[in-house]
Amino acid sequence: MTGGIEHDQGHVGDLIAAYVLDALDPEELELVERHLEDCPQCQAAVIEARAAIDLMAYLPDPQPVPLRARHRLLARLHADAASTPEAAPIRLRSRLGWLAAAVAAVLALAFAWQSLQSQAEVQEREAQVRELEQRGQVLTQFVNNRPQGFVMPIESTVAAPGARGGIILDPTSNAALVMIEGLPRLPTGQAYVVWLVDGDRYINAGVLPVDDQGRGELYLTPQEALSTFTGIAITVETGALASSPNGQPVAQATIGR
Amino acid sequence: MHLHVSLRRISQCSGLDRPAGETNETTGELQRLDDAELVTLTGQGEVRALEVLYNRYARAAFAFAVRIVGDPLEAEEILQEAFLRVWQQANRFQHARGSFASWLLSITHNLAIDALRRRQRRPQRADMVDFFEVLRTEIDTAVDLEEAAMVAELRQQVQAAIAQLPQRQREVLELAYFQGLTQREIAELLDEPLGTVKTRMRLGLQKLQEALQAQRPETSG
Repeated sequence: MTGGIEHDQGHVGDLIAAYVLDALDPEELELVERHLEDCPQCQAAVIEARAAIDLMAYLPDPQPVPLRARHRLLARLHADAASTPEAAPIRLRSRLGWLAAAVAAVLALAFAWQSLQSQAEVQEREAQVRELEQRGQVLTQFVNNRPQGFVMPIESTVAAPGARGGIILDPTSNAALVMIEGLPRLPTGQAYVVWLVDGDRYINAGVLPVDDQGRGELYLTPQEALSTFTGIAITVETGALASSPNGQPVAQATIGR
Repeated sequence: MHLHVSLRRISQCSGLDRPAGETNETTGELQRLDDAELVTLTGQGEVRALEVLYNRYARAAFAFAVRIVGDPLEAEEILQEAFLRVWQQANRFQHARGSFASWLLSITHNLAIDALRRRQRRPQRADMVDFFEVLRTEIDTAVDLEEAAMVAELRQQVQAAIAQLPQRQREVLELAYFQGLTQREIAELLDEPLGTVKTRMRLGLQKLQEALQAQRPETSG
């Protein structure tokens, strides 16, 4: 017990509470640490005191935890592993687990995009934009570091050299999410159209909505199985309902495995 | 474009929105492991092991961070950072030196106090809060349903123990622990002599130890 070790006996018992609470002034802290080096009795008192103080962490009443925190954590785990593969290699048990993490990264990014689009004064929110760009980098880095898998990188053509992104495939539901950034702004009357490609056959998968920042995303749920297609292509078209691509290709991705 | 609908669908397909009870075999096996075994697997790169630990302790860590920084949005960042550190440092965890929960909450404490001190030095832009408010989504029910039983038990015991302390002793302990204040800063804040604060802190800890021991005689030491 702290009360049993008195300062006037050469011990530091009356400072131990403040020591474990990190509430000492620097001079007192140095005094205590010097004393602890050679005093097993006070060392034991510190361990006892710390055990009690650490339990104060349980004092707060529970708070609801946003699901978003889990999604972001998963995204960060994979970004962290991608940036330092030698430090903590990821060994996932299944492709589905890996896909879940990829989707988590996309969710974080896409939610952020959505909120940004809903803001009235985009230009004034520089800090927010920086965060969004960081998330975009996380996703892009994630995609580019794992070309083998269900997240496939989108390759740009000379018509849109700055375009980059990925397509996330979910075979369990025959769904895919296309995400891309760095697309040039189009003149009025033109649109980016996504095509599902099977050899010479092209299926119009829909118009890719693109925001002022050149970012777009499109969720695909084709009637035919995704596994029947070998890739996707994005072209610039003057007619959104075109039955075959006539305009300039700006990006493409392989989705067949 | 129905973004929210499409995101929810792809999320459901991936298993991210899977209700806590509908876990696959792998997760079920992991849920039967103790914390130390899960930390070992986490150190080997098993993401699902970390998720089980997250389910057990995220709620406690989050509540703890909220108590310190006051802002749930900032606490959310701290929660993520704490588990990211667990992921990165799992191989260094030594079960013999303390429980996983103690380790996690210690990391959370350090991160939250650092955040508090950073904020005092450099106040944040208020509009950031508005931005993140927009992002607020649904609640993670898995952390409610799968929280470790010992968390609720300890919470009850510690709340009962601290309630036995005189209010002024409890106050100085909480100011130091949850606000990261030194004895001198507490004395200034309360406009009390430094010696008085020191005495209250020492007696407060002593009574807290006694109260905890009285409640948990079998776990003392």
